[in-house]
Amino acid sequence: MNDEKPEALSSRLDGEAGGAAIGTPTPRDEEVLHDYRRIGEAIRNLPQPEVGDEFTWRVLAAAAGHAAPARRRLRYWALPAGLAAALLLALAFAFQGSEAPTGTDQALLTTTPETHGAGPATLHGERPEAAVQLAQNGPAYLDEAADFLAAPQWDDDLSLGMPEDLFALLDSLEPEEEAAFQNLLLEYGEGRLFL
Amino acid sequence: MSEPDDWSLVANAQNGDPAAFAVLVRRYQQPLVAFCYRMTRSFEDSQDLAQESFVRLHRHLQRLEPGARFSTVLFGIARNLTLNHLRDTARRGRGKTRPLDAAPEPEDGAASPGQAARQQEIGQWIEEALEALRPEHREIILLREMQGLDYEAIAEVLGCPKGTVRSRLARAREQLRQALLEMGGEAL
Repeated sequence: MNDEKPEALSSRLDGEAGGAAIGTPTPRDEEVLHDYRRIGEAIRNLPQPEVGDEFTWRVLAAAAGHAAPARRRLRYWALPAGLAAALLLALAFAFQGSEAPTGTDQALLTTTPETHGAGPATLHGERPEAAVQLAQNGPAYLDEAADFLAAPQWDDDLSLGMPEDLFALLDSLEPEEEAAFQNLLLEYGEGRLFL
Repeated sequence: MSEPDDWSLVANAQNGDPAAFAVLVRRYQQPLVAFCYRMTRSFEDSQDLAQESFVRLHRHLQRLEPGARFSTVLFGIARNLTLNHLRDTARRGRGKTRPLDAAPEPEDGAASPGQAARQQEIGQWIEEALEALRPEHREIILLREMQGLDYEAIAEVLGCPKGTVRSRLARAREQLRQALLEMGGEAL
């Protein structure tokens, strides 16, 4: 099969556009379609965990703020809180006229607000280094760090789970860099907004 | 009397009716936990992730507007949280999350003992093959096959173009098929 064949077969199975590209299926196509169909059935037949009223009440209590959040606290769930708080703090710094970054520091900021949200590809470039440098430089640079982190697309996503872009950023850092970056976020944010 | 649709319930919940939110939770708790369970293979983690998804949805209730399908909003949150969890787990060197609890028992069906045994065997192969998939392939095949979402809805959940859904789903299916063939599933 060429590269396009599995896509066309898969789309045909789902009745989606593109499925007609294969024309009349060959016996081999029918065989593959049969396998895909059986795989789907097998997935649907997998045993399902059952949840009942106890789960419902637990959720409702947590949503109403009458119960602790989930049993385990996920480490990176704290980061969105850190990011949001860093932004708030940055605003406070801006009003107080915080020290401006040097030219060297500014040069580290290789992105502009317009390029924020361009996707993981840009995050694997200079932006992590800029973020780490800013993190290491301390509070005076928080407004720049906030700018860096203020990608419009993240704004809504942050509290709904870590965006992939941010994981791409974290993944690209060396352990000590990651620690510095996280310290910045956690120092100013953990527990203030979401936890 | 027909059941109120999701967005009507959201509107009622936005107007301060907690019972409406409870109906939404009951309506989606089972598929949401099932999705998280198949992603994490831990019943406890899947409950936590599903709970947190509902809590975050509740927190942003006033910002929700009818547009996208409600289920895609909810599964989008669960998907983000689940990926966070998987990556967090991997980064902490815990490896794959293993179920600490017993796997749920298959439901009784009308299949003969022979058919049931065969179904169980295929189920085990599928479990192993699913777990071997990368998370982005696992999630897409679960959203399609287990949750029954169409390509447009999956694209909304994943935040990617439909073309990406199409190609990624095809790759996931083919990888599963190849894995099952290697396990001896010629007679799928």
